[in-house]
Formats: sequence, structure tokens, C-alpha cells
Amino acid sequence: MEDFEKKLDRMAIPSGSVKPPLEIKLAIVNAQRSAALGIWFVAVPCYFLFCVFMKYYFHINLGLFDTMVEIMSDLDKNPIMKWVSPILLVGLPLLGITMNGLAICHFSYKPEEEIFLISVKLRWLNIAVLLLSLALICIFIGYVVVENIHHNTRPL
Amino acid sequence: MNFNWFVRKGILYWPASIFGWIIFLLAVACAVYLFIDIDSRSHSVSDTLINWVFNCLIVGVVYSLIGFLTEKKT
Repeated sequence: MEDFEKKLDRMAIPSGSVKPPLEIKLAIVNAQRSAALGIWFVAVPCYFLFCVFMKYYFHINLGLFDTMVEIMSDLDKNPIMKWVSPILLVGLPLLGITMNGLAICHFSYKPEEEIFLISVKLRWLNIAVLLLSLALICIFIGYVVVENIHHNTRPL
Repeated sequence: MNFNWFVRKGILYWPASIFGWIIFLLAVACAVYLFIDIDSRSHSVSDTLINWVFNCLIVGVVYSLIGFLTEKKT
């Protein structure tokens, strides 16, 4: 037993050259909280899109959805309230993507191997909200692009 | 900063302090006022409801954002 203790005393202390991986944790909020707020953030654009689809795609009008579309066009006409509709339709889903993305992603950097690792937690609610937000942004930005191309194209 | 004004249950935020209750009641009052205001200008029940739901969603987003920032962290 004493021999073993002496052997331990003689052993060289390992140098701290091996650095632990640098953890970059950007989770501002936890996954459940960001999913809950993300659902609220996609509710308004989803409702608007539902009204638009019912009217223009399924041709189910019944006078129900005209007012909804009118609200948004009235917001666009008012110079003070003009910024409200882009925030509601694109800004909120963008915020939802950022929050849910940061909540489920984990970043770490290993300096000795120069490896940057991104791991994603499989929280399905967060992923669903993230994908829905992404789809909404794609639809609205796509609409803006197509609409502007249509208006700017003049016949030869 | 930890305010502890709300408690989250699912996607809903319930008031947990006097400030939480004040904000909750303000949100409810705002929703009621919006309903009365929209109802006075609309032509039918569906017209009222479609407009009111949209405005309620916006109120809900603002309320949830406040709840999110001031909720009790467990």
C-alpha cells in the first residue's frame, strides 16, 4: 500500500494542454417556452392565410373573409400603420424561427481539432413551429416577389 | 430579471401576481372594447367575428409576449 502511495507521488502531473471543448450555448429560452410563444407568433399569419386561401383558392367567400383582407389592405394604405402588416406576417414568424432555432440547437467548438459542432435536439413541437414559420415566410416573400415581377413586367 | 407575474400552462399564461392580473384584465378589457367597437361598425355577425378574432389574436400575441418575458422560471 505504501509502495503504491509512493508511486503515485512520483507520478508526473499531467499538463493541462488538452483543452475541453468550448461550449457555445445560445439557448436564450428553453424549448417548451419558445414553442409556446412560437405558436402564438404563427397564429396571426396562419389566420390571415386561412382567410385568403378560403376566398381565393377554395372560392368559399360567403362575404366572410372580405373584411379580413380589407383590414390588411387598410393597414397598408395608412402610412403610420404600414409597418404593422410586415411585422405581423413576416416579423413574428422570423422571431419564432430564431427563438425555436436557438432553443433546440447546441453549438460546441473543439479548438485542438478545429471542429465546430452543431447538434439539434429533437423537440418535435419546436421543429414543427420552426418549419411552419419558415413556410409562412416563404409564402409571403414569394408572394411579394411574384407580385412585383407581375406589376413591373410591361408588354413589348 | 425575474418578475414572476405569470405561470405558463401549455401555451397559455395565467396571472400569478397582482401585476399579472392587471395585465390580464387589461387584455380582457381590450378584447371587450374591440368587440363593441367592431360590432358597432360591422354589417353582420360573421363580419364582427372575423374582425374580432383577428384583433384578439394580436392582443393574445402581445399578452403572451409580456407573459413570456415575465413568467415564473422553474
